[in-house]
Amino acid sequence: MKIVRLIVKEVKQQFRDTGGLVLMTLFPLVLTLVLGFALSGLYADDGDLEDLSCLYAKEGDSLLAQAFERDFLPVSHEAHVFLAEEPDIDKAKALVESGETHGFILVGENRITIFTRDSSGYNASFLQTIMKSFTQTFDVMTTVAQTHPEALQTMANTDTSQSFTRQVSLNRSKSPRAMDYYAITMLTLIIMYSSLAAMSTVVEDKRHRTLYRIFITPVKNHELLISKGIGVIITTLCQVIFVFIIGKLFLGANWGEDLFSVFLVILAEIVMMVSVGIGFAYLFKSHENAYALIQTLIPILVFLGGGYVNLDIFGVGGILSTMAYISPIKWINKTILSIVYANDYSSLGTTIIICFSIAVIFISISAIFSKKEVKV
Amino acid sequence: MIALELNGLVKRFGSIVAVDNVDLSVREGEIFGLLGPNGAGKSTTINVICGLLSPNSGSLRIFGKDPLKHEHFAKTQIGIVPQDIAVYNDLTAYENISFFAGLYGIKGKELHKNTLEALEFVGLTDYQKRFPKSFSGGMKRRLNIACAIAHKPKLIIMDEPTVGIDPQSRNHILQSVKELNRRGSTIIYTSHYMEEVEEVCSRIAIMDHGKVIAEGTSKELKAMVSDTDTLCITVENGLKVDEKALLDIPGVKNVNIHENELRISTSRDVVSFPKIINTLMTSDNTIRNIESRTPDLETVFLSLTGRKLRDQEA
Repeated sequence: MKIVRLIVKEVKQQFRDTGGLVLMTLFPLVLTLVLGFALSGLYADDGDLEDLSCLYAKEGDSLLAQAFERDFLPVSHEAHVFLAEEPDIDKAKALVESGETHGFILVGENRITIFTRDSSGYNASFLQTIMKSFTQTFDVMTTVAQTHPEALQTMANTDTSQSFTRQVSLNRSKSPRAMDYYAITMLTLIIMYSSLAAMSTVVEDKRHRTLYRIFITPVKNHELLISKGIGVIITTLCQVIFVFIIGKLFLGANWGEDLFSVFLVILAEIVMMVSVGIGFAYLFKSHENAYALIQTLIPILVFLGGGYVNLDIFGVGGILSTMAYISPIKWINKTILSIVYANDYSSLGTTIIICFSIAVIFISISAIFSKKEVKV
Repeated sequence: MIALELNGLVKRFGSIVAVDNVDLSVREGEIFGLLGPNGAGKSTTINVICGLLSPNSGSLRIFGKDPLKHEHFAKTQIGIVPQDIAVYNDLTAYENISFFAGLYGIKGKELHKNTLEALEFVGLTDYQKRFPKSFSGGMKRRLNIACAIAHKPKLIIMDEPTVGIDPQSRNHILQSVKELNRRGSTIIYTSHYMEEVEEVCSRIAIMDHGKVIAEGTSKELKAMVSDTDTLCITVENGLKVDEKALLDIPGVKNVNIHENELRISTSRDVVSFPKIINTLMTSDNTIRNIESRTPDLETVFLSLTGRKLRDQEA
């Protein structure tokens, strides 16, 4: 009951902070709108497909390689993919890394591997989708050939060879426009600032000596910590849902079909940042230093995470691309984009683990340092 | 019954002994004054009583129970009016009182009733929906008190509740202290304003350097210095005198210098006045005023410690 009372108080205070509310709701929507229009040229739009020049190599002369050359190569240009053979695999990878070619497709004995600079980018998603379509068709044909060879004739009369390009064009409509991209990145950016709200709940309690007043009541230290965390998480979630609905209704932002997974990532980010905020409030004796550090760190991490602009679009590679992975926001954006646009869940687990690990570290810091605070 | 009992209480911070072997006993139903300058150990003693600090040694009992073993009982019996105003500016007066009282486990209609009673007690009923940021200093002080009493504690500790407020609000607060006591609460009142302590407290303990140096009623404490006179001498353009020269005069017990004012405790049995004046004149001082005072608590403190109560005010 005491925890509920503390949480209600936190939520009430958060919603009365009009400055914070504006920052957390209108700010991401306005930024999405502005950046969505201003940088629309850098992202996919509803017009023609961009031509992708890619390299490919075959490892041996497997059935898959034969099918690739026979069924895929002749029609790949219809999907705006222009392929050139490059038998030297290392050279092909280097060309991809340097940005001289959009991607490299390695056709193995029984699998196809795709190399791109960023697996979550649009070009990567596009190539993955088209090759997945091809391999699925190939798998079906192989299975049929092994089990019901007589059915192959019937299937041969069907124009299966071009089904991948048709599927690709369907998936093409789901690739992120600038508005879609910024709807996601601005939301994840603004969640980073929930750390300031969390920090503020502790700092203001110290500043106004209300923390002292709470500590002389029968409230336990962990009850106070939990209530502060949950209070800010609830408020931030409400703000996120508001931004999400407005963004979807008025900006037409695409959040994909698996909202559960997307919200799981968002929730993980909120928990992480709220924990960081509370941890910083207890860790730093000078609140000004804590505020300054968080406000410096957030733009850097968001930049590395592609929050302001997709670093891939500028062909940025090498050290910066590698460095980007130290930013949790990189993982968060990458995971949401992959889920929404590539149906790719490969980084979901890692991202959740990263977020919750950071949260656990800062919750532990808060627990240790807040015990010292009790001793006024 | 004894409301609060401290036996040999010691609290150290590193090498500093903030509370040094303090013995205190506060009877139920009395207003007990804790007098002492800043840094005397009053606030540390309060923090130990309310469970924020653990004593290094000694024991304490609140209404006969050990607060370390009966933490919830002890906390619900105590209401603390902190020295600093500790309220939320973004919660209304009603919400502030209700929130803090709710943390003691009070809920529902009882919580609502207690909140309204606390508001009425401090005269803020008409302002219950207003936010404290629009309050005057005195109103905030009164809200600070209301937040401490809404859970109806049997022991109320008021730590310098009148700091920085106008005389009207101060008078209101002093009347509130008496009224709370009349309603059955035991009160511990800390202050370095001796006249307040003298007005409201039935018994007083004087603390200095972490120790209780005297304890008793105002009358008993003054009797301790019945053989002492206090001379207050005001000079012009800053006091120029060797303190040791004054202390060397037979009959001079204590000397306290504060800007242009000199306060000297002298033994009633020894005639020291002419020598004091002579010492001041030979030190090139121009005397503006000389006053002989009857003993008050300030005299008691000066006599016991050689310092004025407000010497160490920040």
